[in-house]
Amino acid sequence: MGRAARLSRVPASVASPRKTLSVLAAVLAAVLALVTVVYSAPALAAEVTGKLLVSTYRLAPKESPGAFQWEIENGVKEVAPDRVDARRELTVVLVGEGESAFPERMEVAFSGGGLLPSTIVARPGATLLFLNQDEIAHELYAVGDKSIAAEATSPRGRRSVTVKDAGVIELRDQLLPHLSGFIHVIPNAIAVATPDASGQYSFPEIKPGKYTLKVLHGKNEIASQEVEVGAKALAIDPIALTAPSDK
Amino acid sequence: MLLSRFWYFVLALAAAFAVGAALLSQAVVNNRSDANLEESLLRDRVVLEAMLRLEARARLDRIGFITVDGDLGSLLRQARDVTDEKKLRELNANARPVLHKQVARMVEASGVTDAEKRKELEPDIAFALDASGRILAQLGPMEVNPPGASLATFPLARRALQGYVRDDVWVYDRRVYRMAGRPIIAGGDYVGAILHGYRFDKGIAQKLAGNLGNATVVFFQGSNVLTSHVATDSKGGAVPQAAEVVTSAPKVLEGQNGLVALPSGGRAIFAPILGDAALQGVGYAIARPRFALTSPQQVFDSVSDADVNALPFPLLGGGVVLATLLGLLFMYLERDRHMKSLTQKTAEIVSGDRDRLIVTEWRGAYRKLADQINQAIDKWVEKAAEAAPSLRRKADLQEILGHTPEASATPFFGFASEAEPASGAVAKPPAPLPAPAAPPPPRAPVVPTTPNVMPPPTIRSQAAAPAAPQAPQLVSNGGGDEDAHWREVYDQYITTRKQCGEPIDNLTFEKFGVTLRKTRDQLVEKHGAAQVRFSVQIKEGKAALKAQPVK
Repeated sequence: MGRAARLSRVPASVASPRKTLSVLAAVLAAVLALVTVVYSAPALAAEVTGKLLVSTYRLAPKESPGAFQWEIENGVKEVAPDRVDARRELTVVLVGEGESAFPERMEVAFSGGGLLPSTIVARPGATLLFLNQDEIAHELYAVGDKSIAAEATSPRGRRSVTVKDAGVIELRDQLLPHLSGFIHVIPNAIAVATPDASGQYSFPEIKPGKYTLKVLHGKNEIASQEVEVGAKALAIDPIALTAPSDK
Repeated sequence: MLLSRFWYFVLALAAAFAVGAALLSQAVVNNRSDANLEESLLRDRVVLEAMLRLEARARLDRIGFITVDGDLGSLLRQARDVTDEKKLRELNANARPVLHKQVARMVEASGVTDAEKRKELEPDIAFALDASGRILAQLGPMEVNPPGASLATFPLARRALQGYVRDDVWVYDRRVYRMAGRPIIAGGDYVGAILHGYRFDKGIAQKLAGNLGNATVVFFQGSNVLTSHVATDSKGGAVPQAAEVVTSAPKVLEGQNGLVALPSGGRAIFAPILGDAALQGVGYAIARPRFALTSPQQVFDSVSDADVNALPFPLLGGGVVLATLLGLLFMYLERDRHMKSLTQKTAEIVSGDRDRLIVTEWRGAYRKLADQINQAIDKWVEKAAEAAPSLRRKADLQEILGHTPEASATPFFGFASEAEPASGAVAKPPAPLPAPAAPPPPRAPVVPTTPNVMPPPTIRSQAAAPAAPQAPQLVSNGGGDEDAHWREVYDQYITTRKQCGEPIDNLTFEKFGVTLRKTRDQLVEKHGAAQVRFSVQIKEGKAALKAQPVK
């Protein structure tokens, strides 16, 4: 009641403006709080997850018989079938209209004598940073594209490459003939995800809308389906992969 | 001369055939040598491929026991799901001595005691990989790899981890290795793989070249020689060197089946190596010298005694004898016979048995020679007649012939085909022929001092001075002598025209006499000659008469 006593001692002509200012301040605070709540509401960006059935994905032989003198089974235990290294070779991308969450700068590693990932998706103008995690040097170059010429990247060294035009760029290594990679430059790519060894993938925050989900392996698109993202998290049904040669 | 010319042609043809045969032999030998060289190099490549295949199999078998080794398998199994860097370092440190031990066991198991050969069996590089392709231990360069370093995408590693036994050729850290890989099984699972490799060293080149009959063998990458063995025995050809072989390598090795000519003259065959490194220009070449004959003489250098003994000597000797006899026969028919006759006739002139040569007895060059001898006799007679008295006395020609006019005053003339008057003849009414006369006087004796000069028969004209007493036999006095001389000339003229292929139709002695008379009169008037002598000669292939005024 002290406050009321103080107010009572204030003349009526003076107390009225103060009250008005207080009300205005309270209203302004309420509006700011509402705006903050509206714009930070999680319901406007949902996570999209899914799984690729990699165990059924059979690869066509990559090498010609002339690559060796001998390739025979060990005679002790049955050999394991060819399986795709999903983490290295497969990429899932969402394509559609709308605001892109695609990074302007992406990192790709030289690892195990190859690219990780070897199937890369980028938007035009994006910069790719190749980090050499191998103990040997690489000389990456693009086949038929002089903008990515062969250039040595020493162990633990790095090299940046900017992609410009939409399309597919094939990457090879002058020092390691088996190394192969592809950059898919997609203008309306919204988000990209790399599956884990079991084929699980996720896009953390995708705004509601209609998109096309594509699964890329090397230069090929091996699966594609339409997805509609809403306010809630979306779990896409498992996708069975079909080798390009089986199509 | 036709026969001898034909014979020369046959001889030239035989010589050309012999030279051509020698050149052809050289070409045949060279072609055969090239064909053998190509066949040899193609065979070399097949042999080399087979040897490389066997050598690869030996490398694969050499590490067979490691596949089921418990120590290494246990370590690889432990590393399977480890992601902690510290734990991985610990496993790496434990795996390295185990890998060393396995390599030592591998060398020991070969049974080789020679230290140098044992050294050759020690791999230049070796890896122990876990199931995801991470390097758990490495021997050779870069032994201390950071934890997590991987060979997972190398086809050899990937296939070995799947359970395959496989070889390959790598370019790893800019060095070329002959690799071999095997899976490692522990507890019934594939827990990793072991890979090992050898560089292309001098030993492998020597070993392969030795089995190829000492050819030059070169392993190369692009323009760099990895290793080579250069043949030592060239047997005459230039030994192909490794550098020239590499610089002659085609840009694309795949599908090379033809030979490549080397700057030194040798030939080489190229092929890519079987393995990943082929895409980086790693290949091999086998080269051999080319034995080429540079001259036909070298064909005979390689002839053996047996080859010589196998020749058909009777046939060759008979051919030589026959050819010689034929040549001698042709020489006799065309040269010796005529020379003998000519020599005999000229000897008769010398001996005084003959005044002149009868040119119609010979043909061709010998007839021309006889004619020239006759002309020479005539000129000598003329000169003798013109000589000074002292000379005349010496030659005694003036006494026989009187003065001989200049050569320019001795025109040639003849008769047209229709026996028209000769050119230059004066168209005067024909004078009566000289009256028939007695036979010509006997031939004058030869003057001993001028054995080579035989004066022709001389006839004095009607107005001529009395015959000189010194040569009554040569200068007849009276128309009978002239008529006989003209007849003799007429007969000789007709014969010569026939031989020269000229017509003699309507050429009667009467017409002939008219022309001689005119000519005689003109010369008598012009030179004041006492008599005129005629002779028949061949001028430019035609019969011609020559008038000789005698004072």
